[in-house]
Amino acid sequence: MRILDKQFCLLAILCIAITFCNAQPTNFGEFTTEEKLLKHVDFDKEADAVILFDMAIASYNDDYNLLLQRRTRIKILKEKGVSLANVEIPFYSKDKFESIYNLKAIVYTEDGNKSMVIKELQRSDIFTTKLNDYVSLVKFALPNVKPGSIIEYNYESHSKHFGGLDNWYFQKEIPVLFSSFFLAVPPRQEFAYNVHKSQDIPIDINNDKREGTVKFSMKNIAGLRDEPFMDAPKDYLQHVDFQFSGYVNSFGSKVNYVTKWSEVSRELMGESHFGKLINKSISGTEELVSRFKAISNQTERIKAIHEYVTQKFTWNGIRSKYATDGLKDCWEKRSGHSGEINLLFINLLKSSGLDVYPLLISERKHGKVTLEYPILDEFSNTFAYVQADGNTFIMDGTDHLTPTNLTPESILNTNAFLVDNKKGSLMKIANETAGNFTTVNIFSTISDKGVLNGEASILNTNYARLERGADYRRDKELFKNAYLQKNIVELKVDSLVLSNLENDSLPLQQDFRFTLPVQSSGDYKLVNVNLFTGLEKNPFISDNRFTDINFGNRQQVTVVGQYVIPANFKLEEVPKNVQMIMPDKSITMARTASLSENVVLYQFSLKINRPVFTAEEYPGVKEFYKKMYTFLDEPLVLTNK
Amino acid sequence: MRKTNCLSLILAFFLSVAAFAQPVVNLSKLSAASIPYSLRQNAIAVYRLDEGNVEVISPSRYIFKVHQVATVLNNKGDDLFDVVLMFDKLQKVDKVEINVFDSTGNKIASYTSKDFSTKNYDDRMSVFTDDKLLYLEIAPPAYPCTIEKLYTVSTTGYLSLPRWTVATPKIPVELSHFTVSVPAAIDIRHKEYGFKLQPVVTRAGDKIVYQWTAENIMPPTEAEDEGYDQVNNLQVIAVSPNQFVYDGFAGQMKTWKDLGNWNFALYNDEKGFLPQQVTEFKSMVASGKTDREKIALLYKHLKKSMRYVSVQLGIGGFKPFAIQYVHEKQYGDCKALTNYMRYMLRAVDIKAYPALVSAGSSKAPFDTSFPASYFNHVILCVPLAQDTIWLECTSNNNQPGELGSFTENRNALLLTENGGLLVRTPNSNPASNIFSTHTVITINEDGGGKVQSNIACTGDFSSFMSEIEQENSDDKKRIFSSYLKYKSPDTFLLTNKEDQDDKKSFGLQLSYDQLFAFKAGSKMFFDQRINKIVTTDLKPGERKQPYLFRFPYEKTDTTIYILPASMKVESLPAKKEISTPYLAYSSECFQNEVENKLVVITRVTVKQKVVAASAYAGVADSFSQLNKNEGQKIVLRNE
Repeated sequence: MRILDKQFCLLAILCIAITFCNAQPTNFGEFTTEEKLLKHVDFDKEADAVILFDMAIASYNDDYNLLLQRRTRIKILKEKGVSLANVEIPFYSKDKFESIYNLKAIVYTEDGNKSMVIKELQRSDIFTTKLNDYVSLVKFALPNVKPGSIIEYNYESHSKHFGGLDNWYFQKEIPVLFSSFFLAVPPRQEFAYNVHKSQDIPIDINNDKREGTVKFSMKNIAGLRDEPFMDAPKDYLQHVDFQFSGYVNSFGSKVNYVTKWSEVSRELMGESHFGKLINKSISGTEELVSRFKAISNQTERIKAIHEYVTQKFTWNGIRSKYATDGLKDCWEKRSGHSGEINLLFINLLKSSGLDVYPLLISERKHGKVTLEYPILDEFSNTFAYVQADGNTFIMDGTDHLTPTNLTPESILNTNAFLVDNKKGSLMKIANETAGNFTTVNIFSTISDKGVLNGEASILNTNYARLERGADYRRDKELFKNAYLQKNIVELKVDSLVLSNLENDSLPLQQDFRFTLPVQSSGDYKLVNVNLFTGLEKNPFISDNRFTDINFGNRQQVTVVGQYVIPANFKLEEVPKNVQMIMPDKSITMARTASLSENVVLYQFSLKINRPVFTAEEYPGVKEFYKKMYTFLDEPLVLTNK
Repeated sequence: MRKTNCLSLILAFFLSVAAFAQPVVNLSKLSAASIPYSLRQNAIAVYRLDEGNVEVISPSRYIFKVHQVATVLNNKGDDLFDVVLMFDKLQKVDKVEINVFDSTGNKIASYTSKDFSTKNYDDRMSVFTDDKLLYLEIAPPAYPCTIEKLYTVSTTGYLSLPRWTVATPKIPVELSHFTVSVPAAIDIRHKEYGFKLQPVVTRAGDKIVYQWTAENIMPPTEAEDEGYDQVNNLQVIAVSPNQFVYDGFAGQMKTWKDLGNWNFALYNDEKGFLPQQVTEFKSMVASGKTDREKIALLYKHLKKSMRYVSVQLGIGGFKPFAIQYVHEKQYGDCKALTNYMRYMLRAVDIKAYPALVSAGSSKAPFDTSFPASYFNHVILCVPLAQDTIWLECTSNNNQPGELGSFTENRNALLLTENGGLLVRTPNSNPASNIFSTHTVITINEDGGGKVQSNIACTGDFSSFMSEIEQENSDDKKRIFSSYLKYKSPDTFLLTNKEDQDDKKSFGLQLSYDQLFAFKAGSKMFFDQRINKIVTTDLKPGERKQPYLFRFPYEKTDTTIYILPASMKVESLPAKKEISTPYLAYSSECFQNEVENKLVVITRVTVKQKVVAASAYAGVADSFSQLNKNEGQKIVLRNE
């Protein structure tokens, strides 16, 4: 979101004349004077384009197929917005589940002489391409589009059943003036919906129980754009999602889909593509399982199985929580969807006599789950949850980076559901102890010619070590560039030794020597003390922020540096001791420096004590970082004696 | 032009390729133990066998059989387990078989075409191309392990023949064998790059058979960063047809003239513009006194009315959309827009020629002595009596005559009624890429301040700024601080000013709570300006391959500091000048004690785009001097 935070948003919306939204949208290709004259949107002033309306009607036919009619009208405001005239409509093409038809599109453009030109899309300019085994795209480029053009397209989609009903997003990357979704629920079906919206934006819901229809509409929604350390956009986009909860069968009795958390476990454990796969032994694994069983220490056994699965199996990049095609193929080909690999992993843990449960998860980047009642579509994956030796292990069979004892970082601060007939429950995934910790120790001498020579040792603990370890294994030279030399071309790093690469429980230690010519300025020498910290660039410089900052876990960077000053120089001034603490102590920073004879002892520490900061807290975080970077950028200033 | 971005993929395809039909592989080749130590040292994988067999049947048909056995030694070689084959209307994958073996040579998995998935190839640029991919990602078992690939590709039309890459970095080859058999009547041409290896040529009936065999080939070194593309650095056998038929269009390729003839015919538009459209163009240029002015008027019209949209289908990868189609849709790809511009010029009696180029600012020059289809883009060349005007017809920003780093400094194949003609596009000129800034900084007693700056730019800088202009304020601010290396401000406002001559102009208003870089006691240390004048750092040391700047340029900056009465100058950076054949730099700081003002004037010229490997160390050293000088601070003291 670029020009407004939530409070502004509310004000802006109150002020806006709702000219566009109250009137029923005009017919296809009939554009109103207001639309033609529209130059910018007050509540999102710098938008590239604006969606004038985006509407869909979902209904059914005699075979209870899902029929969808979609109509979208967009006004292009800037040159960059012209790319929106290259339209892509994704649809679920596997086994011909969904098809798109009756596509029509039209463009209104005023040419130089203020005369209007209306052009329609021709059939021969519509293409269908296959994106992967599941999804295809209908693609077309609309003709004659320039800033000021209005484009409109509508189409119908036919899906085999209501399982194809997607969430409806009122909000987009560009602002939306009006968005509505009308749903006719097939008779005898019961369904639940869940509206995700910010308090500032009203939603209109018209639920006609007698007719079995419901209509949702929203107006004047500013665009949402990507921000650093942001959760899933879905968590912030205004949207409604649907879950069918049951139906009345032809004998008049009610068959429920899952509507309560307590029912989820029973339902899933009985499914042939989920629970039943866990308890059934997979042919060909017997020898392996007996080998695992021979490991008497349970923690060691878990580790062995975890290592086996993450190393031998390759994830094909597709996320799933079930194994619709069973596990045989996955076992034989040693590859599969995340659901297949993880259910196989759970199966192996279980057969090896461990106390294991499937855990439905949704990564931070995938989005938050609704807690009030189950919407299984909100979960993206199934992890393994094991209790052994008084500890809990949460593991992903497709993640070869995270050690067995560490909960995968992608799900920290999320809610997950433990699937078990007795113990089944929602749980909050947090890791209070393990954070992302980095310590940098520097012992260095400045030569009388002005070159900084030293030894450094970097210690990365827990989450901080994961990516570094993996990158080092991949390519040592790239590792040196990416983590140590960064873009400082004159910094030379050599004699790099890594310790504890294979021992996850100890910090990953990187010892090396370095030299760096000290920057001269007239009679001064300026010694850069912000080396190897990973804090080279302030990520929070934007003026506005709409989404929460989610660091994932607690962060800590500590620097202890010793700088020996040559005899021909003296320190201009000892850097001041400073400390900054957020009012709630959520972030603290301290810098101390002292001079004893010719040795400067410099210490810096940054602690981020909680992982999540709300968008409302952003100005405070931004100010903190701004000040912190002025301290980080401050060198030791030496002058000639 | 077709398949610009397919290139890397096609390469990957032919790199990973090899051939079959030869005797079954020696079983010992399947075991990792038999690799000689000299080969496996520092390798990520070793090709045990890499065999390709091209059977040219006619100018439209060939069959390409590949048999490849590669032992992967560690996870860096995992790419060999991603099997990707491209196919389209004219090229089919007839057969594919993949076998995977463990370290001792036991077969542990095998796959055939039914295990593969297909999808459309996405070049990330086109709305649609008819290229499709057959792909399979295999999980590598424990290392070392061996993968065997056998497949056959056949065509019903082609423009080029498989290019045989003998060795790529980090993957040595035990045995590489490449065969081309071709009817003597049509024959082929061949050329070897990166090593000396001549084929054994034999005659078999009415066919000529070329065979290249190489054993124990050590891999070439990797391409260095900031140099020409990898392509230049491989050991390759290039094979090119003398005659070909592509999607029903027959042509010759023995000479550039031949290839140009084929292409030129594709740019002929039967219908062209309608008489009334011709009249419109004529009246559009009525105010133009010279051809140059008329070209400028029509080029302006093109930029204003057209947008770039790429659709590549069959011969449509080489033949432009019809003029009337482009006129109706008001979009097109490089071919379509170039030809549209060409026909607009023709309507006002100015002759112009399409020129095929291999575009990209780090694209290595192609071999002019070996005619082949190297091209991925087309521009328009308008020869005038005095000089020649080049037009990049896909741009919405360029000035007439301005090509930019994407297509400058290279050979182009001019398509004329007399066939193809190799010509040079203009050399990049520092004077056509200007970034000039004039900044007034008013400092307050606390060391904060307000900044008013004017920016004027041309050439590649102007294209860059046109893109920034489209962004929202926060993104503009982010790009200014991360790409143009401005000190991150507290408030930021970029405004457009009316363009002066061919310069794009902006106003910039910034404010800072803290303008100094840091403080020591009562002394404040200020940078010489709020932005780094040079945003590239050159790594010191030697290079083996040439270094490329994106483009040569001239940057000038004047920064004026207006100091509060309480602030006095403690020390100023000394004057500095650097002058070499590659770089000119001067920086000087003046103090006006009466008005308590400082003026810093700095100029940088990067004179040439390409730095020869032998000259690199010297150039890096002069950049290091420049950057050292740029690090000099202005030291002020509050009294």
